[in-house]
Amino acid sequence: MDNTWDGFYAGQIRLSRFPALIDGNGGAYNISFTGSPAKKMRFLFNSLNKTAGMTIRIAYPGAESRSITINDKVIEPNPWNDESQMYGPIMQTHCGENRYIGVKNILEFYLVNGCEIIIIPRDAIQSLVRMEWSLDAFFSNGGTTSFMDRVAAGLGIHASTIKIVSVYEGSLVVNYEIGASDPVALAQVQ
Amino acid sequence: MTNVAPDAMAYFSKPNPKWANLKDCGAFPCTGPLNVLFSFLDTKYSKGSLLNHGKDFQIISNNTGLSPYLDTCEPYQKGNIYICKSNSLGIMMFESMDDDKTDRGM
Repeated sequence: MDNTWDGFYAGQIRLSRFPALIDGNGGAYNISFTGSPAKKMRFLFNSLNKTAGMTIRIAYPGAESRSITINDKVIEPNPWNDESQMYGPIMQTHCGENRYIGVKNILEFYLVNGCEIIIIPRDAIQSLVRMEWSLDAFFSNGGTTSFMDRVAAGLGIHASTIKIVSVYEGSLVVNYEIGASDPVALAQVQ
Repeated sequence: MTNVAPDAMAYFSKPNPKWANLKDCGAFPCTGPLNVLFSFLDTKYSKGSLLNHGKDFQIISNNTGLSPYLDTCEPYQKGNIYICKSNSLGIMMFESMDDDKTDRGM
């Protein structure tokens, strides 16, 4: 951050790097930012206990989802859990285990001793819509294909960028994700 | 540990509020002293030692946002510290990697 201005130039520039004392006893910690969170962030935890670790939760102000990477490899989020109707909870099985809770825009990940995690923005939006409709009526009227076509038409985007994550009753809830256009995939379907 | 008085083992001073000035810390108060961690592993005590915190223990500062809430930690007011019968405490570092990482706070 910069703390002073000298005419046009910023002065006393310093890194936005923050150390924090934390207990790696397997608990969960919420991190709140008073300003806009950085798009790309690095997390590192060091303890003398080799098995120390904790779940970190970050609530983001925007709907853009995030990915967790370790050594430039994206760690896939936990599989979808039908019971909780969201991505599976963090079970603290391995460093980088993560899930992004769409709509609430909360990123959760497991950080262990000696593990370096980098959060990168993912060019996708996770969304959810609840409709006054039965499951049978939804699927007899074209189901997910019609749903994707209608959302795409409404937003003026290509249907290939929409991915249905789940459909369940209650009345009818559709979890879906809108990703960035893949030019190669787009060319194949056009 | 040999010939160490309990009161002399550690003292962590509080961050000086005057550090929050343009010359030193800028608008962000320097909270370094609140995030200090001393870890002791396989500690041995000499005969007659006035100290005995066990083989493994950790010392942290009187960080009011964390220290009082740790079950394994007990305050030691003379040193402005907490002594923790634990080895899972650690330092987590996080930083912005955006292009504007030196230009704005977050």
